[in-house]
Amino acid sequence: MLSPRTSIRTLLAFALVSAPTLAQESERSGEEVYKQLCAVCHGDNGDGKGLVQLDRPARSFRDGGFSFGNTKEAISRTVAAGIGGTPMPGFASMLSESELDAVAEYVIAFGPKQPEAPDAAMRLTVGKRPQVVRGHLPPVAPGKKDQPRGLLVGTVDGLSWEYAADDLRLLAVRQGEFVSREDWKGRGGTPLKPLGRIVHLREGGDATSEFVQLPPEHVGSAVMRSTAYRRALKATEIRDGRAWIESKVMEGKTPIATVRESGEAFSLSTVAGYRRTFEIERHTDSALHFFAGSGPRGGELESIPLDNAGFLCFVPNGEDAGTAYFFQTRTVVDYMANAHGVSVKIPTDEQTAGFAVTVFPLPAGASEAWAQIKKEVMP
Amino acid sequence: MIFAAMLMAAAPQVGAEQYTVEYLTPPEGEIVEVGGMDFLPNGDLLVSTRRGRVWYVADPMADNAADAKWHIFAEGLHEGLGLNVIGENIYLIQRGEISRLIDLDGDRVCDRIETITQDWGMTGNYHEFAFGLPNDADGNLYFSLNLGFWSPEWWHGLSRAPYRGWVMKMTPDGQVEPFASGVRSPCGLGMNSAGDLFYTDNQGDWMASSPIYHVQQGKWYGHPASLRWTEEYQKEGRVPSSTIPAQQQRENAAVWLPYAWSRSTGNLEEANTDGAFGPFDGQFFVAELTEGRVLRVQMEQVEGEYQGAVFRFRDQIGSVCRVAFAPDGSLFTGFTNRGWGGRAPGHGLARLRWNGKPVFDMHRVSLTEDGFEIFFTEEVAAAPSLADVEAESYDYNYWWDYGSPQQRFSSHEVTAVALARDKKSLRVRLAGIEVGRCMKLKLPTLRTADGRALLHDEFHYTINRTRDGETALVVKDTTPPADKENASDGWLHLTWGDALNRWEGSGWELVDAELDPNDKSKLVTRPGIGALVNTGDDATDLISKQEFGDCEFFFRVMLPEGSDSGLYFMDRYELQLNDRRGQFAGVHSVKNPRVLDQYKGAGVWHTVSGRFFAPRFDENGRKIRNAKFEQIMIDGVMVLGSAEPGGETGGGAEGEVPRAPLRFQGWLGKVCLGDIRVRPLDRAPVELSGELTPWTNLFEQGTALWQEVGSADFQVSDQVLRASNGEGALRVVGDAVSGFEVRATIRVAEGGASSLALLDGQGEAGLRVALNASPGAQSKTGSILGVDGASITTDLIPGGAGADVHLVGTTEGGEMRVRVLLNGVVFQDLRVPVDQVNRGFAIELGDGASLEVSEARARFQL
Repeated sequence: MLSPRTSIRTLLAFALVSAPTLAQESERSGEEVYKQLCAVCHGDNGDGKGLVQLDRPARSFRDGGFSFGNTKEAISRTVAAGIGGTPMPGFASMLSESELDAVAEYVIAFGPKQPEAPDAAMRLTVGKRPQVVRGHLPPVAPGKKDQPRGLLVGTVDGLSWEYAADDLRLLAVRQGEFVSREDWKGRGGTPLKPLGRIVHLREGGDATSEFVQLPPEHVGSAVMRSTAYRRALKATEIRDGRAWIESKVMEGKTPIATVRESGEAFSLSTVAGYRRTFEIERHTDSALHFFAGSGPRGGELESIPLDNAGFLCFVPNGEDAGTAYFFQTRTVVDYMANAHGVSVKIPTDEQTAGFAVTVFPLPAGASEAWAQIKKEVMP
Repeated sequence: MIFAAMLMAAAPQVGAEQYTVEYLTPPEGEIVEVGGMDFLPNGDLLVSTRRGRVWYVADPMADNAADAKWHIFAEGLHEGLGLNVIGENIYLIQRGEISRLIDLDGDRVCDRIETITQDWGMTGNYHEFAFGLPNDADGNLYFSLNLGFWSPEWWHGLSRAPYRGWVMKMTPDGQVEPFASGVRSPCGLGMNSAGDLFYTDNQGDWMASSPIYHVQQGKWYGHPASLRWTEEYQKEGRVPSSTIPAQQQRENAAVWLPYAWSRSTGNLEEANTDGAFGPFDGQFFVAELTEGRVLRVQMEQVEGEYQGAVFRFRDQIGSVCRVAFAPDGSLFTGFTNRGWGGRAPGHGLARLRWNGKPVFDMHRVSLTEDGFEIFFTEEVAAAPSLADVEAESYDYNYWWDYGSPQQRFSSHEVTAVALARDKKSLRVRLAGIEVGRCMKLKLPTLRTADGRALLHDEFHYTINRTRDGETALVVKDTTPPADKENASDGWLHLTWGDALNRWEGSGWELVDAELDPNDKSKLVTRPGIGALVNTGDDATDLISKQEFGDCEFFFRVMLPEGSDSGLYFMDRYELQLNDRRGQFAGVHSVKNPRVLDQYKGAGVWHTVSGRFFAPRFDENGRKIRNAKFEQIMIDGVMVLGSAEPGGETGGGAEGEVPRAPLRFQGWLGKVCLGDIRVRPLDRAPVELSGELTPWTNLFEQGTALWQEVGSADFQVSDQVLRASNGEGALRVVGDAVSGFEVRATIRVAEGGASSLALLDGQGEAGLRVALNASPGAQSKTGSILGVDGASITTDLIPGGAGADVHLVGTTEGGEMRVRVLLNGVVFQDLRVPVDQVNRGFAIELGDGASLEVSEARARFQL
């Protein structure tokens, strides 16, 4: 018998190792998938009482409430992508599309029958093609400003990416259903309603520009951010099932670089996060850094260079507490990860640069998850 | 009288015999609210919509309109109120950007949306539309930016972000330049073949009616709000007044459209069809939404300035917001009316085609030194007699009020008429023709040789300039009207914001509804906020959570054919709401309406208003006066003077009582309701009893009684407190009391949260009543903050409206029972520990909040 304290990792490791071997034979039913992969945490009968005791209890499916959407599509995406910052990993690599759908249906069946949402007609859903929506966005968090010019990108893995479109700042990453077009009602002009739950609220909802002249540094007791460049939206594009956002980094009225970015869900075995891929084309040799987020207040920031051009770091406290970053770069770059913040220098000697940053938005002090990330990412 | 006569004469003049209307039906279930249209080089049509989509309509000119094939080309756009295909490039104006839409792989679906510019300001106000998007020969694109409208003084258009209220130009390299100012609600832009730009505006403040202006760089068209962004105002930091005319050179409109002909004007497009659309090439066709028609405008240049005439062209089309000529010379019309109201259909497309039948009409008119020369499309049989020419002129007022009536009418004697030798033009000489006026001229008797009448026998010509060069403004400076009183004072809006929050009942939802065109006894609904409808199969009655007594009432209602509903006052006395002329708005089994033709039938929205008085009882509970209805009106016309039910009228609760809820019948037939308001004429009897202190006037000595906390400004003058500019509170803490009453008239502005708090001995708030009129706030005025189930999400008291806020605390069974009344109606009744709320109160202000408190007073039970 497993003790209630058996770690989720042990159990999932078991499930994950054994699953693919079982999977090869034929397509599994929703029930089979559930019993093999889900029941350890969510319980055989979906009540959230599995064999493991998690820091954050697994969801009970019996009341029918799903944080990231209650449709088959939404649940199957949650199963595929995992839930950032929680012990719920993504199973995309282990399950076929029909298995994902089957297990989603199985899970829905635990709960009460759902009436169709009255505003179903206004909902925009993401299917096999990403969706890009421009519109008025409500404040991303209480007390923050609304965005009369907003941009919301829905990717096929169930994440939505919420930007201020005036200066192209990523404010938050959400997960779940995509968006309700409230502006279809009334006289028009009503803000949209993003339906996904926020899995990462960047810098508490006040995310600044990510492209800066110099990395931030301490001046006295304050962290000074160097000149932040405005990023101007130039285009959105759907290509090969991905959504790309193209922008210009502006030094005053002069574009100094063109940036193309695209996001997706990213999951390790027991930690989920999201990855943003950047392609950068330089137009001038002005100094340019990508600033990912603030460093810890006072404390230490653990950062580990990786052999294959990149690094890994974890912010234990401060504004971005709990965020783990996993940078992968095409070429070796200068990076800075310390109490000031986490940033990389965009090289000036080459015309184009590329990097990917994976963000694991963990709860503050999630040292166990951080240890797991290190274990899986480091060679 | 003039208005009625005109309508009667107008009825047959629809142009239907010569111009057919074929409807292109969108795919099943899709609502296509047209904001822009243009044709691709291959003849297919792109339609941008208010729902942020671009539809691709393949084969739009198919002989059978049903053969057109629709699919979504792009979606997720932020409205699309103008679309222009230039060569292979598809340009679209969204609310926040001008974009180029690109199909990369040729599958007729947009893959890439390029943001060419976002270079204008937006505050997020719902009315900040962006319209466009014609181009000139040099590749510049033109667009126009609507002003914002904010409650409570929604009638003053404001420019709170750069270049709202301007026509703008975007150069081919994407640079944006402010081009001309003074615009209000500039829904349509169009270019003539000479390359001159025109825009249409909508009647409102500083816009007397709907004008068509010739847009020229640097000119100003009359609405002051936009001037804020001029260099001069910027330098001085000035903000234009909403009520005082600006000292600025104002331009004449090329043509003023009479309000009866156009109430919401859309875009305009010049016909260049090689005769395929009939004899009117070179003239403008103008979209008109509310009246559901297309107008025709013909201009001439007098000393280089445009002016001209408007004619009716084709009626009974739909809510036409956009017109666009197809390559084959047919005219496509695009509909939308959501939130604006207009003739059905309110969405979709129609194609107007000339069927080749003779069009006998006035072709164009030209101002002469002493009258007009009128050209016809065909020979006329004979000149009319002098008496058969009707000529009347008028002008307008320039002021901040919403529109201007046609003013200062004068009739003009017709002194001569002369038919040209070719019988295709007529000279009309008029006495007293004046510059700066609109001339209405009518030829009701004119016929062709074979006896056919003119299709449209009337035009309105705007005389900005005479042939001898005299010029004057048509819209005259005048004494402004008195400030508007706030019409919302004292009312409770029971369905604003969250429409169902103040009601009990199931099977009701908030949707947009109209009659099913195939079965008028049924409704079709779609997402929206237009109406509360009992859509559910087992819908129950809709009962107010609050109780009312005497009140003035107001609501909107629309019924399907044969339907039956009713409004039971106090759950007992039924005002009939059924599809029966002769019963609608009568009091059931007491009195029918005396005016029968005010009810216009199924599918038509009506407002019903009036007053209701509850029965009165003596101390022993014996009734001493009957319940009574007074002055029941349909659309502002009284249909029933008074009706006095001797008892319950049936189908309601039994026995008569002093106060009870409102109940709309929902189980018997479908009904659409909107904007239900009540203005209580009495106050619920909630008062302290026993020995009480006298009322204390709380701001008699300014803020002397009070302690000020935080950074907000609290200013008192004439015993009225005005609080704004930051976070803070005014507090007063005193000895413990066993009962209290605080009462004031409070006016809260939109934006920010504030509250009225009851305090404990430490000055901490033990209970907070929200004072909040901000759109989107979770707890609106009257909510108790932080208490489950005590949130009010309906905008009972909209921003700027004054409300009587009354808190009463009485000690009962060791607890303090606190009741909150708004305008005399009890909205909260809860019990809290006595020592949390018995020591004082505070007026608390959050960031961005501002409010005004008058007649503030309190009394206590010690």
